Amino acid sequence: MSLLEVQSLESGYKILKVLWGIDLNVEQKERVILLGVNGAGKTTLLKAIMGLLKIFNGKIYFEGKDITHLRTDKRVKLGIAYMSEIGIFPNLTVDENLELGAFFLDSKLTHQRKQQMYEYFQDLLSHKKALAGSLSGGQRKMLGIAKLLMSNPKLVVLDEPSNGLSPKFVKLIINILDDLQNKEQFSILIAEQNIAFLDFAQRGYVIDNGKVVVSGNLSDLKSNNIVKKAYFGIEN
Amino acid sequence: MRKKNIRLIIGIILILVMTALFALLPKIYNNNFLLFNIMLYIALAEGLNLIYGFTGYLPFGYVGFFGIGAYSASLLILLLHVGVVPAILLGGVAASIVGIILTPLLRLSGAYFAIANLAASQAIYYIISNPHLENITQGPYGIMLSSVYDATASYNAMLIVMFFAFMLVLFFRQSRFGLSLMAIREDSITASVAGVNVVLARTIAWLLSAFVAGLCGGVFAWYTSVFYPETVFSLNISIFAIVFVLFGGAATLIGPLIGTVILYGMYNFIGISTPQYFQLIYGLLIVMLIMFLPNGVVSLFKKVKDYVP
Repeated sequence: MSLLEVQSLESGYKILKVLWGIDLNVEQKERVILLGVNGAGKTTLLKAIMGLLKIFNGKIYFEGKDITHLRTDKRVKLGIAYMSEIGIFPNLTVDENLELGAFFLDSKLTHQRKQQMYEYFQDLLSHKKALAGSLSGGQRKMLGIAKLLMSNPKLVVLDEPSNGLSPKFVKLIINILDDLQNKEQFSILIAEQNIAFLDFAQRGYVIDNGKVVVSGNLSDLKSNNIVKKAYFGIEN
Repeated sequence: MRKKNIRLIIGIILILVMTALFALLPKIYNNNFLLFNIMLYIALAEGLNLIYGFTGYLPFGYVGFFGIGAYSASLLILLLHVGVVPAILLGGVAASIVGIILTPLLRLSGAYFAIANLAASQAIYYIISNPHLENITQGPYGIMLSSVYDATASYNAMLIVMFFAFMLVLFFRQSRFGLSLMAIREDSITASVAGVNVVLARTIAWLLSAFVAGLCGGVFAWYTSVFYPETVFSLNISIFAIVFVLFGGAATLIGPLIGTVILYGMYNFIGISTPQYFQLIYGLLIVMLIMFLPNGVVSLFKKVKDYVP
């Protein structure tokens, strides 16, 4: 049984259909990347998985349970954590942001997780009282990831974590995610345009115009002509 | 963990001191009416703070709940001969029921919500003051509650309502529920993906806020004993409560308190000594405040200390 299974999903905004029958699955402890150009439907797919959009057709299963029409906060409680491109509350402090990340856990557990996060992200500890909006772009992403992991999720869904970061920080984020995934053993679904994330993943999907055009493991993707052309600029 | 307890204790001490102060003041200062009004506006400002400060919805029609509380309590006493205290509590409940009817307004945001809420409060006013309802609401001719008038008891009732409003704000300020509301205020989508039930949380805040205004209305009716629809549905009540909250600082316990005491105090002081300059001074003060201290007086304290009760 897959951790997350999306079956011929159709979704979009009001009357505008963006996703035209997406099939996708994420296994336990697996790292899956979702590639695609701007407007391909990556963010829409993630939002549909989180229950932020109306599902027109198709099914979403999490641990075998049908969550197609489940409310967002209930999905989060099942163990899906989502980081949008913003992902944090700029006008709340770092500490409050973390606390909200584990909103539905009891306070003892929250405290434990917070200590754990401050251990992972030493940088955040020194900015505990600062407003999240005063952090640098890189620190905000760190906070976003820490906030995400507060709830001890089974599946982490990230929407373009590299957005707005320098290549150096992108590398840092990848290393952190790599390290944390080994420690905490969650599954990851990342939507990205940045090809640097390709080596981080084990398997991937390329979507275009709301359809999966290529899918497979890393070597399949790398050797695929569409991917080569779109991401490496190689024609053959 | 411990810090949280200390903050809770500071808040409780503050509330107890304020309550004790207003309980003792009538013994040394005999302008009972002024003291009552200050308490009334503190309670209204704190009640408005619940919805505005913590969720960002600006209820321009907040007075609607106040008026509903006043009328429901009065009519229960006059027509159904309910006891005064249960009638006031039911007045609060009635305000919450109107709040439930108005929950679809929470789908609107910003100025649209404020305008729709304002319109709703005026609609309630016109229903109640309709001469065709004279047999029930007395229409535009107002209510006379002199049969149950009791200055001391109604003063003490206001004291209790103020205490209750303070405690609610303290709870919002210190609990995770309050934190979840502030998350919704910042960004409701990010809050929902943090596991917050957005609709439920803000509806609770909305109904509690309405409940406080309803209680205030009921006690006001008891204390005043004679009033007209335009007295309890006056938009000035909404505007005062909003300005007091903004002046002091929203989403804090002491902000609305400071705002009410300073501004309402000045309102009475200038209004009596130099009434001809009153509007001018008051208006200037508010303009200056919005320009230089948009987050209220408490933002001055926040520069020194990062936590203000």
